[in-house]
Amino acid sequence: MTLVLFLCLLLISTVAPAEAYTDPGSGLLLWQLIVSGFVGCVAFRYRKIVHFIFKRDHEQKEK
Amino acid sequence: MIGSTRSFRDPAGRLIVVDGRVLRLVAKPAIDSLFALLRSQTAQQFTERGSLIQTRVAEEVDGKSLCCQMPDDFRFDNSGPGIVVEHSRVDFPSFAHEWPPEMLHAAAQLTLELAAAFLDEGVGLKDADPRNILFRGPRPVFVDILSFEKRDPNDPVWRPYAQFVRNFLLPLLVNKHFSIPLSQLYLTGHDGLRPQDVYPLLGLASKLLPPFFTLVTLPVWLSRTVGKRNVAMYQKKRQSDAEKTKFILRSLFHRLARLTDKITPGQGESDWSSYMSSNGYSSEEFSAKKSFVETALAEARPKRILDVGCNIGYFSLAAARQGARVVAIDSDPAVVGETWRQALKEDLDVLPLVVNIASPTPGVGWRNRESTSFLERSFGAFDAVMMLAVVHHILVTGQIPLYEMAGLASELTNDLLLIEFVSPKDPLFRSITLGRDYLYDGLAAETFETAFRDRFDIVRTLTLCNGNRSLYVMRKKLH
Repeated sequence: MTLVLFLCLLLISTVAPAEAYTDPGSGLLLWQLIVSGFVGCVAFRYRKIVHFIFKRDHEQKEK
Repeated sequence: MIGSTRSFRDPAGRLIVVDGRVLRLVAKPAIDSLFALLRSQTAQQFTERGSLIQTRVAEEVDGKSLCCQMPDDFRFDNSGPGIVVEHSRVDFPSFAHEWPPEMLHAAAQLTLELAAAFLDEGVGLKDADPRNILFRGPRPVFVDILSFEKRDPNDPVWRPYAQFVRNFLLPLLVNKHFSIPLSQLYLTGHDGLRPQDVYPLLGLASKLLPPFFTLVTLPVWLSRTVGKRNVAMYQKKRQSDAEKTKFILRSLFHRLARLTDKITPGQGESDWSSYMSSNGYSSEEFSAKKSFVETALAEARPKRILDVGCNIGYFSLAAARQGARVVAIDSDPAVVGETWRQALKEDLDVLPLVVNIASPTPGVGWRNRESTSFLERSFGAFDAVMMLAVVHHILVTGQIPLYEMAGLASELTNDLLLIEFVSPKDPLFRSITLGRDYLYDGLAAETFETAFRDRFDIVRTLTLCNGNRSLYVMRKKLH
């Protein structure tokens, strides 16, 4: 956790120079690709377990 | 086919209005996707509940067959003739820069709901833009049917994700956390807010905590690492398993829907949200005012009403209960949001918009004509205009003279004007003059009547609050 925080602070303090023709959507697309990759590799493989957990949560909420 | 062009950015088609008919010219390459959409059961369900615009293939326009009537500049690389479809008309178009956050939120929810619902139909949304949506009364309706296209069943990337974040989530978040009005965010740019625009506004804690961490901080960091890999990044990354693709997209829409729910605009407080309990009227006097307005509306039976300075929509909702379609405007987003909530709850035909009549919404977009100005949409559109307890604000705060107000009122209404004059002796008038009472020394009900008599006949009046407030039913003179 400390390491994660340290890396976050390091990234915040590093300001890259602004360049022309930067793509405002690239960061969001990259993040979507990372999450999609994770969902496709991990969550899809264990979807029955994930579904079971969410279903149980949902049923508990309904009760 | 001569009509005013309303939408042309998408090469798949163009929207034009001919004699009040809303027609969409559809290019040949987009026809298959359009029919796949229109024939789907999901589209029929959304159309029946009023969330998707009604669409039918038009046979002829101006009494002539549509063959060869396409405008000369509507060409698609020799792709062949397109078709023309006709949409049911949305009475009064409105745009994101006029919506309170509640309406933008409803538009975001509808966009996600449609994207998720059409997954099984093999159809996807190719953009996520608030301009795809208009409002009928308080309910959003998705109008840009060419935003739907056949989906590649193996492509797990929702291309409009970044656009959805920029145009819906970030404006809603910034509005909620920093109280920046949506009009300021939308009027200046065409594509919402970029993560880079929001990043400098955030403190250290906000940068590292959800929802800003994944919507702003991480994308900003990641965009710095992309560099020249941009082009390759946009190449399709196909999955071999179509089920897996659907699972990934469904999970994305689910996450976005949960996030959208979390940023539901709260019931806003503002200087004006408690106005109904501090409006200067005793309960008996307010009942008399209400009865005066309702009687005037019941006699004239206007079908389309503009309520200027609607506050929390008390009289707009009352007019809608009598069967009128109402556009209710106020400069304060908090009270407009409250009007929207109430109209939705009672299912009344009231379209509440954040518009300051002293400085109405300008035309926006290409040649300032893509989203037309509020006045351009309003002239000739209303049988009645209500200006109740608002004239003194336009006069004092807006510094608009009475004869100018009378001129605008006569252009806005085709017939009826319900207007209230608040005298400079009234405590609420004095509370907004900021000590400059001397400017209004000569102002009295007679002066007010003189300013309006050139353009209106005064039918009836009611004086209340010890003579400090006068209500008028006026009818526009036919010149």
